[in-house]
Amino acid sequence: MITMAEDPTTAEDERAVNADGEAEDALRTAFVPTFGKYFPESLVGALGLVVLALVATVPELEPTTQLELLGGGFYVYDLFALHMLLLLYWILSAAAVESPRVGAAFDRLATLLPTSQAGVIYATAVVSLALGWLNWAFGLIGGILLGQRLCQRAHEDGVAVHYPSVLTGGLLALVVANQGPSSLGALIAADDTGLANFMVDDVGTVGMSEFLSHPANVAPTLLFVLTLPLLLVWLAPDDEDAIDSLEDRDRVLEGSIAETLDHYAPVRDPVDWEPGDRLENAESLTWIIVAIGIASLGWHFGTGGALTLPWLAFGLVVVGLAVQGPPMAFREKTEDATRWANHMAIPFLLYAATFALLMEAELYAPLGEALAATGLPSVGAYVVAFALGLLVPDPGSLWLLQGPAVAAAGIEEVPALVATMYGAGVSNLWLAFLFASVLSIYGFDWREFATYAAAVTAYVSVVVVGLLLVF
Amino acid sequence: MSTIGSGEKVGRFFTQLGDVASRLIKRYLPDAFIFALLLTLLTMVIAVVVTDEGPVGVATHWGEGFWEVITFSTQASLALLTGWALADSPPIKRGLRRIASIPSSQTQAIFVVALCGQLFGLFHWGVVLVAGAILAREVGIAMAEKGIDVHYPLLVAAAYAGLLPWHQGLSGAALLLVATDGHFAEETMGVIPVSETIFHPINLVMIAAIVAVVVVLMPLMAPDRENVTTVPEEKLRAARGEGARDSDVGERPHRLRDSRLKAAVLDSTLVCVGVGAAIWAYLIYLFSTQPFMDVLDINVLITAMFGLGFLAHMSLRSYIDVFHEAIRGASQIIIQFQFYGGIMGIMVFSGLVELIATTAAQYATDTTWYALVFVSGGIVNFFVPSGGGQWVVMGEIYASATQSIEGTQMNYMMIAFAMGDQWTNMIQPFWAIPVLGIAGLTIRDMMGYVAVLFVFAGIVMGTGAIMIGVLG
Repeated sequence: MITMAEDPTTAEDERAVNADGEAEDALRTAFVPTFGKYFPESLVGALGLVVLALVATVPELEPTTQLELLGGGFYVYDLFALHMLLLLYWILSAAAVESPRVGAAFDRLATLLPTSQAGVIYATAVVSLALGWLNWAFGLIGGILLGQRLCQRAHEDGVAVHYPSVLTGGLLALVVANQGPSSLGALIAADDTGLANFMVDDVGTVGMSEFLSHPANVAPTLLFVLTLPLLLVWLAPDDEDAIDSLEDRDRVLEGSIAETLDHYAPVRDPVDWEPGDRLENAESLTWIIVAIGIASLGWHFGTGGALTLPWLAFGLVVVGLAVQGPPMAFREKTEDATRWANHMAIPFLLYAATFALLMEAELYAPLGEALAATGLPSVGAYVVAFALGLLVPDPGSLWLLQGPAVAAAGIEEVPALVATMYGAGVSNLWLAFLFASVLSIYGFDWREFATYAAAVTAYVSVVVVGLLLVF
Repeated sequence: MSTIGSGEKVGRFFTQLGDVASRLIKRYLPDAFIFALLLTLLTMVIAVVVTDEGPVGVATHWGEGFWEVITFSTQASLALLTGWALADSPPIKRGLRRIASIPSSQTQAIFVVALCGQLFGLFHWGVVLVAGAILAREVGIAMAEKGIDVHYPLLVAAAYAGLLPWHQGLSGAALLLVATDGHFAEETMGVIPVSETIFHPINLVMIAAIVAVVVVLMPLMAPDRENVTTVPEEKLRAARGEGARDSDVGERPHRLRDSRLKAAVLDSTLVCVGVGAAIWAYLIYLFSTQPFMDVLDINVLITAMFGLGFLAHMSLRSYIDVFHEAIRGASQIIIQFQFYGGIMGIMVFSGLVELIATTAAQYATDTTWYALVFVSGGIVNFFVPSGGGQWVVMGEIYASATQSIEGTQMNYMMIAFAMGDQWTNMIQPFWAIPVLGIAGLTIRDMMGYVAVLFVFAGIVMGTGAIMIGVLG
């Protein structure tokens, strides 16, 4: 007689079923699908905002004007250039990072960093924050991949590392990504041509150097780069039983970072190349274009030209071409990188409608007055940006919606811009599931993520609000 | 007997012509992006050689000009995105499948796609690029399922040929622009209503001639059975529901599950149709209170298709998913358009455009002016394939020259310009990018066939431009 316990096949099946059940439970509680379950999609968020704007403007506008702006606000207020530049900002930034050359640089960096748990968490978070300040893609994509590489190395060294802390470290780039030279709000506000700056006629410009060097921006950013990683190290469990290692379902790396980012393979074998194939894979062509691009950039900045959103995008084209190598590799990566712009490409039409409705109804003035009436308008701008940012993942679109109210409040522009961008950054941390999802990451338990995000939000808010009150 | 013999000879000639052109293009033509890079370098060299600018000056013009067409590039991208989303909606696809089931031979299949492509192109260039490509794909699949061999690259080329009459049709950017109050050249040429351009009898005759060339030539180029390439296997699998969608966005981790409330909103017909109806309520008001052709411009067209998309998809989920695919398909317009802006910057700031247009005007008489506008428009379109963008840089010059050449008319000049602009699209791979994305082909597979059209349509349009001068 064979009992159930003696039946090896049945026992194995049971274990397999249990393992599957646990994996399914883990998947169900992972923060990316859990938060995604409730997040209504950017387009729905944008629809919600436009409906609110329609209701709010009923007393001010004729119904036909309201409906005209609902479908055509983007052209009535000529927001085409801003729309395109925001799209390119997301696409080109990703294309400038997701290449084997940049991957190799991250691989080299990974060999120099420590593999203890504290070392991995701290290094990942510092790199993510520092590079994120330069550009979101370098910090976010680079930080996440570097973190995984360090986890891999630690595993090889027999060191257990708490992956949730590492992933959170990689996501921290989102917090400071709008405070540096590729801050969308600042790049828009710096544009004196009006191409991206929709407020240039009414408000004028804010110089990028003014934004970058303002104490309310410099001080917290430096502090966060150095201390937010410590917060994560402090929050990470020491007990080996409580440590969750990097699981297969979240493993993005296939070999090294460079190998993972190696996306391009010519259609034909080089021995079968026709003249057309040779041109598609001619790195010399890339380098000629890059050299001309550098000359153009050199001329612009050498003659006192400002860093603005159009010129940053142009620079990203040049960098993207240089790091991708063959021109076809750049072409293919830009197609693939559109996945990073999905959250704003179409919703922008409805953000534009909301902006147009509020502008046409002249509601930004009372909104600004309400902000000023709080007595702490910059702090108010931070809080509003945080709340609004939970529906509007793109900081540039958020500046479109909130910027005119901030301007109407009559407060000092630079601290208000800093506050708005920090609000956008912190809200983006709560929307990190959207960005992690693009990399096919499921993440860890949502309660743990909420704890980290809440701790970071509290710390950042206290520091930013405190410094805004001082400066 | 002799009639059949000469018919066969003609067919044989065009088949061989198509084969030769296709082989040459496959060998020498690189991807459209590389083509744009090469064109950038070529423009730089020409500018250095024929203008007073030095290499550094020309390089700086590239950066300055990079964003020259950004507004139009966004309009073009939005028109494509909204057109794509509309064309990929269930009711439109059902209609396309119904059309796809009609043909029962290779010749009929190519004829049907070519004819529909022409109609789409005359309606809107964004629709021809998307609906035309989807139709070609569906016809290819339907024919494969019927066991009939059809040369798929030629089928796709037949759809793409819908771009040949586009600028003379309802979405003709320059023609719509000059019909818009406050357009940039209004002081020189005034506002020209579409009744004087798009719906002018001369324009309609030229359209008929172009359509005839396309629907006759394309089926004639069908290759012999041994040279036929049928629809790719992955497209067939996808059609049978065995393959993945082009976009994996629905599979992404954050979209694995929906709360009840989220699902209710995303799947609500009421919400989706309500938004579309609200957008269309204004458009109906607009069209009922003002003459249709006076208010129709590219912005209204985008709004109309954006609203129609909501109505046709009937759920936000479906609309969002299609947009994710559409953005991927539109990526190269988003990127490469800016490179053409750079080329335009070189051409405009170095004075190259002015040189071409003034040279054309210098040698023009009231009889030859329209032919010269057609040819020079065609040459510039090769470097600046955006019809509207090209008009932005050349419009003022053409308008001034038309004013100064006695006996010429602005509306005829506009028709000649539109013909020139659309003509060289047949040898410029830029607009083929979204078509190829949908069809799953490369530019090298298809371009040879439309290059043949370039020659024959050029003869027809060039003759037409001369005749306008002679008779006008």
